[in-house]
Amino acid sequence: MRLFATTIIMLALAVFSASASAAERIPAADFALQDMSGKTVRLSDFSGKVVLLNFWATWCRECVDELPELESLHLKFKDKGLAVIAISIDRKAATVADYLLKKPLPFPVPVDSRGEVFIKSYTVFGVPATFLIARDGTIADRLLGRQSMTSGSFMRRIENLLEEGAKR
Amino acid sequence: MNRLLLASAFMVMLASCGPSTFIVSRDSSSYYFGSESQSLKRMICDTGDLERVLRDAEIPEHLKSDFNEYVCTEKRSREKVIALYAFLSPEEKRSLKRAFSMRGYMVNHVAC
Repeated sequence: MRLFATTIIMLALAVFSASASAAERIPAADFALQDMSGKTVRLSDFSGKVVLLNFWATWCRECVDELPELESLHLKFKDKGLAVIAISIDRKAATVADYLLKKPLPFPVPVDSRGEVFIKSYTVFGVPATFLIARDGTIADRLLGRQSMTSGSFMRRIENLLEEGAKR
Repeated sequence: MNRLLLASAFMVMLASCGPSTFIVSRDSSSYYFGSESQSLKRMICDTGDLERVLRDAEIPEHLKSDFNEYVCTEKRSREKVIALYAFLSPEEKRSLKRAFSMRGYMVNHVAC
C-alpha cells in the first residue's frame, strides 16, 4: 500500500516537473544579483559549466532541508564542472546573512529580494524550485518542490548533463 | 481492474491540482486569483476592489504594482500571478488574503 501511494505521488510530482530534450531547450536568462559579501553573481560567470540553480527562502522548511544535499552535490561534482547557485527570495539580505553565519554554504547564495529573477525572468511557481542548466546555457530540467538530490536518479541527471557537454 | 481505475482517477486528480493561488468568491461567483477571466477582471479590477485590497495588504509596494499589472491590465498573466504569489512570505500571503476578506470576499485556499 505504501509503495502504491509513493508511486502515485511520484507520478504526480513528475507532472509538475519538466525535462526538455536538447532540441527543445530554451536559453536560461542571465541575471546579476548580489551575495552576502556584496559580490555580484551572474549566471554568465558560469558559462560552460552545468549549473544547478536553486530558489529557496529561510522561511521555507523544505528549502532549508534541501541545502545539505545541495552541499553534497557541490562537493561531489564541483571538479567535474558543476556549479551550484542558491538564490534566496528573502526580503532582507540580513536574514540570509544571519542564517549563513550559523550554517555557511560553500557556493554562491545571492539574494533576489525584489523578485526580478524569480518572477520576471524565471516565473517560478514556488519554493523550493530547481533548474538544471546545461553547459550550453539552456534549461534542461525545471523541478518544482523538494527534490531527493542525493538519489541515484537525480545524480544520474547531473552526470548525464556533465557528460553531454564534455562530448561536444 | 477497479484498483487500476481508482489509481488512474487519483492520478488525474493530483495532476490537476497544480501550483496556484487561492479562490476569491463574491455573490456566488468564484475565481482563482490570477485567472485571466474577463469576469474576474470585472469583479475585482473594474470595481476598484483590487486597488483597495492591495492598499490594505502589507506587501512591498513594487509587488502591489506587479499584481495590478498581471491581474488587471492587458498584460494579464496567470503564470506571473502564480509566481508573484509564490514569492510572498507566509505572512504576506496571509495579509493579502485578509485584505480580500476585509473587502467582503470569501477566500479559500486551494488544498491538494
